[in-house]
Amino acid sequence: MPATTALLNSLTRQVNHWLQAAIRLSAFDNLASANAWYGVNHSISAQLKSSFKQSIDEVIALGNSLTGQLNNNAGEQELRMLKRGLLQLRSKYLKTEETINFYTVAINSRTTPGLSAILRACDVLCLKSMEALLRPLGKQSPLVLTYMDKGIGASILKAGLTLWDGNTSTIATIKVTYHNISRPTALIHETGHQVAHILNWTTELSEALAKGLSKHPEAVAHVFSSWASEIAADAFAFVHTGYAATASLNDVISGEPFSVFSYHRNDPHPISYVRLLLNTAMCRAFYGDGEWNNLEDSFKNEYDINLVNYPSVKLIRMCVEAIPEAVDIILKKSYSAFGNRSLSQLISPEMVSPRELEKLAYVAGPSLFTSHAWINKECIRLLALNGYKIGTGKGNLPALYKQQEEWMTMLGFAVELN
Amino acid sequence: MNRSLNGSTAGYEQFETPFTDIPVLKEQDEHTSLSNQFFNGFTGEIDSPFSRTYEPASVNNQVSQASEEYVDFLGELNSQEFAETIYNLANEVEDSWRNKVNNEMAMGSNYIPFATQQAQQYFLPVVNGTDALIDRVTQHFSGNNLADFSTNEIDLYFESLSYEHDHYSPAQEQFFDKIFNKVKSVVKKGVDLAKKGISAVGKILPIGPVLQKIKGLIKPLLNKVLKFAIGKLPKNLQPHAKTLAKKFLNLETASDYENVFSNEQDSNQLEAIQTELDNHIAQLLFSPGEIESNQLLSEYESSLDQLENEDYSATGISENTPIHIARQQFINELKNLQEGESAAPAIERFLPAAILALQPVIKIAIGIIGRQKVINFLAGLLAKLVGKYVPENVAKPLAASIIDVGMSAIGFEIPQTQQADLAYEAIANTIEETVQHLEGLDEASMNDAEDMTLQLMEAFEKAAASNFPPQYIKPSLRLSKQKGVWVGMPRGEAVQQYKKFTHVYDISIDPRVAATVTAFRGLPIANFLKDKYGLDTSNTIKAKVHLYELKKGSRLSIISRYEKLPGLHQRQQNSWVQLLPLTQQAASLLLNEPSLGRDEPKNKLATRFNTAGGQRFYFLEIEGARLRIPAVNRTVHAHKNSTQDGLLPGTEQEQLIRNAGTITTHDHRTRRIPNTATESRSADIQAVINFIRSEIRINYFFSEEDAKELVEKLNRNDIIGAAGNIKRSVKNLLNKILSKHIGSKVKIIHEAIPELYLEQFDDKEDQFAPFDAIAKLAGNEIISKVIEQLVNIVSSEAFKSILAFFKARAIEFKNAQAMPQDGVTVKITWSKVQGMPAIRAIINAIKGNFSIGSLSDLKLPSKFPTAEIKILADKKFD
Repeated sequence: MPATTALLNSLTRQVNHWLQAAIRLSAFDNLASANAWYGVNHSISAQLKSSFKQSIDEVIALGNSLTGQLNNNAGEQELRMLKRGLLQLRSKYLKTEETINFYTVAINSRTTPGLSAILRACDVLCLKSMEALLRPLGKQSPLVLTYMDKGIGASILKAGLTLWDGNTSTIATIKVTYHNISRPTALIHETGHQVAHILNWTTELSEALAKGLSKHPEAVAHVFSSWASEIAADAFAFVHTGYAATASLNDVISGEPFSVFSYHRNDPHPISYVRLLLNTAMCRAFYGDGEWNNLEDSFKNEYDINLVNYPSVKLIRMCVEAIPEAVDIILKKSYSAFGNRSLSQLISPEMVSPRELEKLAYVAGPSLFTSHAWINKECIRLLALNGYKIGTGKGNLPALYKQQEEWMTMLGFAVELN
Repeated sequence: MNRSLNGSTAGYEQFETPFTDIPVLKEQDEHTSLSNQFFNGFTGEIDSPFSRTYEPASVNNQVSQASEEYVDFLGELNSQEFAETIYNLANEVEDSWRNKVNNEMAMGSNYIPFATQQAQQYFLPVVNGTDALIDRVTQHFSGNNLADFSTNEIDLYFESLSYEHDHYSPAQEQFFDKIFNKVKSVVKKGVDLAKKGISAVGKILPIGPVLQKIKGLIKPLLNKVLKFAIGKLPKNLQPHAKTLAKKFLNLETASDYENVFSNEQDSNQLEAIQTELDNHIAQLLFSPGEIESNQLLSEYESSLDQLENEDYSATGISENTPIHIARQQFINELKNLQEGESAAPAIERFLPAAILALQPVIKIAIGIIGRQKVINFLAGLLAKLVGKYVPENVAKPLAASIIDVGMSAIGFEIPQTQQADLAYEAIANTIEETVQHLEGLDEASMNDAEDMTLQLMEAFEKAAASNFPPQYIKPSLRLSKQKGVWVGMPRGEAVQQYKKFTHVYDISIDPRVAATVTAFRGLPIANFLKDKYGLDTSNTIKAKVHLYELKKGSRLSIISRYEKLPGLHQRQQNSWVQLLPLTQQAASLLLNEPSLGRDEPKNKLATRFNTAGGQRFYFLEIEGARLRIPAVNRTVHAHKNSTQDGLLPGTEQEQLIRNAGTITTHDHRTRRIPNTATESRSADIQAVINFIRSEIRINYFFSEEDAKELVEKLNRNDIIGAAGNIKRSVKNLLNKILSKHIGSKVKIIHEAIPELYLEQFDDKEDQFAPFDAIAKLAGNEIISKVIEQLVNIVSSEAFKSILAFFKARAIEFKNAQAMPQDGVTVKITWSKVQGMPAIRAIINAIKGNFSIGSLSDLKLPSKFPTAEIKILADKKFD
């Protein structure tokens, strides 16, 4: 068989292969179970399907174009050019597949109606947390798709970022971990990343920390500035859920001592030791003394800085000194991102102070966790209240976890199919 | 030229058309002579249909105990939520075949058999479920000891029946529940009658055979649901249903008179289904023997067939081409017209179907005077008015203008090949609506060609302004400031079900506007926004407003089946409940476009389940607003996997609430969220005036949001604030709604009023009504006034009772609000109300031998006994 013919056959076969793969990929309903699709907000599924279709259409169009050229009696030179086209097709397909797979795996985590309901409640919590900040600033909140996965920490694929297939994500996709589903304050940390991105607060905060902490050693101002994105997200979770976020953070970062004290130059997360103390300081700054003092004492006792000799210890000690000022910069300073107001002015942490949460429980009475009106209106403060109670470690903890799951289930079912 | 018609001169060519640039074409054609002939012979043919058909009925004013028991039982059977259940069931059954049908028109005569087959499959589990229920109940209550059962024992027995309906859809579950309730009522009444003995009500059948006969009603009932779903339920079901009770009670049955005046637009078909069913159930219970009960069952099974025959023969028009087929034929004919060819013949062919489908008033007239003459006249005139737009070189720019004013804005790209159709569609719509707007066309105007021409011109102006792009319409006649036009929807479907305005409005809803603009039953949209979405209406709310108009024979839920908007789409079956009536008030205050609104009769604004063709609606697309459908159990029958009160067994909430209050439950089993399908509801009110028992009850429903706000204030010890909330809800809102909707919100149990609701009275005054009939109508008017005054006095008493209740027993309200159910019902009952027997007698007098003199006995109650107040979680109306 002449080499040209063999090459033509090979190219034709391969182009066909990727075309068939793309066609198979376009059956979106086969990629996630019907139950899973059913459990997702209608606007989200419509947007995702439209975006998938656009990507796949591009792959198919490229494949069809190559097929046309292959059928056009191409010579050896042209075939070699077409080989490059085939590689492009293959790459484009794989990137599209990567993108679609990411979302369909996320959607498929909605395995049962009950779990779907809880994840829809997570979607609502995320959306409401963003709307509280963005709406007064005249900005629109992106849709949110939450999903469950393994691991210790939550994560976000922000809306507005470029995806594997080259398209821009229109939906914020947030991972909530199995262990934290009944205590999901981490969701609000993740939406903090999204709002900071939309408002471009991180850059402004980074500069403010670098400048505001300048009387401290340069390294302190530098590291705080480099941690701005995570600090912003922590601050957002704090103003929405108060001590609940702090207690939850404590339980997530309390791993091996090494992980608590270690400093990684390019890691946007603050050193865990500093991070926890920064969060307890936020509580103190707005609520005075309270459970967070006990939490901090316990943490310091568990991770006694005087007993370890990690290279980061000196930096940690310097950073701890700067925490009170850092808190003021983060929560009380005005930013142009916030229309020249501070974060705590736009979302008052006082609304989730222990006193206010107690008041909420009192004025609502037993209906707080059963009335769909209360659940819908106060879902973020319910998260804060349950998280606070769990954070104190007192009372019937299993019942609190169960209660959290139950009101989230009610919330999720109430907004089903919207 | 001028046309001399019936001795008068009607120079309609000189009338202004609504179009900006088009002088009316003058042409000589054969229609002149046809019209002349028509009007010359007009007077001789006209005849009133009413005087021939009305016969005063005989009066039997004796009140027997059986009559009392009968109407009391009817009141018990009647459920305010039955219409909603039937509506939801109809939606679901239509879904069972709708997704499998690509082109209803192409299926032709196969469509109905296919839909019926699909519907039967959908109904099968419901039929099996209700059959099993009735068999079980029959078995339990068989034997001769019926009188030995106490009410409490019956309640406990029905509470003990629990069902596992995981395979039921929400609407099927609702339907089962309604039948469950009716069966329970039958048993209770059967036991009651057995205790009272034969002397009270005459000979009756044992309960077992009665229940078995009721089982036989289910399939025909579901057949009626199917007919409703496909828009084939006969319009004269309502008077037919009412006549049943009147016959039993030996009341007059002026059915001919009622039939003539029954207006398709006004009839509430869903209520008619219930009235008919309840009367058959009641008559089966009161039936003296097998022969009579078999006859009743047979009548119910075949009633639809009879009514359908009556329906079509009454029109006087033999052609029955469905409007969607006729209009497609019309569009095709317009497309294929040769240059210079008149559109009149095509219009002539289209008009009969349009008239048959759209306008009952003109339909009657045509039946009498000869349709061809009217059609010729209308077609001649309309052809001149629209003829200019028919040639392809005019139609194409017209279609392009329609596309320009927003087809793509509402999400539709029109293929090049179909673009011209848009112009012909606009012409067809204009002609359809012209016919529809010929509201004042009566016998007199038929005799007066000038008047008829004027009326047609007026109707045509409105229709053209709605369907032609604004630049084609004179500025003074344009209905909107925006470049929008109404287009038929859904695009690409054979049958157009509704219209959509191509402009979408961006608005801000000010708190004062939200508190002023009212929606169904007169509730401000502030309540809607708060209850359905949990929005804070004290702030301005931004929204996009989408406008819709229902086509004849369609219903609101069909809009959401085809829309693909955030929040309004097929997947959320309940999303249509977000469509609100676009009255002139709403259009003015929300859009600053008064001409886009349409005011409708009160009964079309009382409930979203009874709408009419031509009625307009809007949908508020609000960022972040999510329709709330609380996951609670609303059924009365128990479920195997949940508690009767909806609390999830073994949960923290259950413990918390049960510890806090006095609520008890009978069923603690495994955890499950029950099947539900109802959106969070807004405030509502109902009154039941039971003249048999001299008892009055008012049911106040506080929405979950309203109840929450009230409890919050009570818990804060803000007594003044709580009293303010009660005043706003009870006195300022609900009592006013009751006062304005006496006809639909007050259930009357009286042996002379088996209709139960005043809105079911035939109180339409008309110049053609014979004198006796007018006297009868006036009597109904007096009854309405008496009831209205009674309701006003009672609702004022109720407000005082509620205030007193909250001072002493607020904890009961708090406990009910803490239940997971949606909202709280406050039931206030006055028993043995003095003065009611006197009013009862007067109503009997009015309904029997009406005489003004008897009114002197009328004295409304001024002193009321202490009211009994019960608080229940959820909406629990009677």
